[in-house]
Amino acid sequence: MKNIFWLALIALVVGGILGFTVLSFRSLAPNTIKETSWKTNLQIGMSSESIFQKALRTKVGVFALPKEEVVYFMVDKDDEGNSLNADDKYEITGIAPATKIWSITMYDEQYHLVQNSIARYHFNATTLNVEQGETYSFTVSREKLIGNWLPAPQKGGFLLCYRVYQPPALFFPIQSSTLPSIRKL
Amino acid sequence: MRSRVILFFLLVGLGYWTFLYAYPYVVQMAFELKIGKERNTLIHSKLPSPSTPDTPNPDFIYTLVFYDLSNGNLRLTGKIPDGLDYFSIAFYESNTFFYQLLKPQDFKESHFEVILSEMQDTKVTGNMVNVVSPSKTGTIIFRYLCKSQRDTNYISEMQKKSFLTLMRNDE
Repeated sequence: MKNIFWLALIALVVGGILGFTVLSFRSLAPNTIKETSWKTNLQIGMSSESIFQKALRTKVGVFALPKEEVVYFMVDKDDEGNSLNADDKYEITGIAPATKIWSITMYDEQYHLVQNSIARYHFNATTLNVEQGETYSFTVSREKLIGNWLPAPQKGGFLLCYRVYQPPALFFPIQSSTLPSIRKL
Repeated sequence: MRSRVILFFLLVGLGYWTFLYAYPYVVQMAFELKIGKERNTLIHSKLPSPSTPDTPNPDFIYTLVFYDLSNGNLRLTGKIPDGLDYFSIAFYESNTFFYQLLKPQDFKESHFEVILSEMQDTKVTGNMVNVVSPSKTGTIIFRYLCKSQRDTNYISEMQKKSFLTLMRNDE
């Protein structure tokens, strides 16, 4: 009887460690958008969201809103599928979505805004000065640049989060062409 | 022996799912500890900075409430900011899961009045909105879109005009 108790306890602990490990190795939302490196979770606030999706979302972006209000896309890889790295320089290009409020924000690997000398953590329609449907572009790099420059961390990897608030009905189903491109320069 | 192996793997699965189920509750507790403020108080923040935890949106100024309905319902009142492109009040369960969102169009007047309760409140009238919480505790998040320094000052004024009152069970 005593043996079974210890066996059960060890099994539960192993299961818990397994859950922790699986969650630790996932840094983004669970669903990949085809032909891109961007990931999202459109089940936020819905009963169809699985326990795993809920746990992962809590880790990546706690207190999220449902897709009717905002769609969150996250990426830690460039268009070629290589991890985003502070040692490299990237050009982000896209078409401003048909909504007033959207942004692309950089986070470090601990999901914090990236400390930098000009306190610039993101770009949005106002800071890029673009209207809906217009093309925008900015550069991510550690070294200081003139123009639309988003400072990268001093070292390590980083993530980008693209938020689209109050997306129009036409935004769904999400097409890869509506998501920003991330090209290593 | 075979039944023990099966039992072992079943319990591993149970441990795995229990961890995933419990994880959001732990995150909520850790978040409250990190913020370090008592429940049922309005916690006004400034624009997020690199020290702000958990993927904040730098476009927003937040007001947070970690609520506890053990001693009665909560009454939230305040002015609806009319000079901003975005304002909302979101409600989350004790495990951080979203359950309701209120926006300016949900109120008939230029101010908001929300009764947060565990059961439907029959005394709610007029401009009041009753939000029924699925759990005794949870989090409320006000999101104010901030596009300029002028907005920052305006939002600060709006935050000062928001109030939270505990309505004792005997009221």
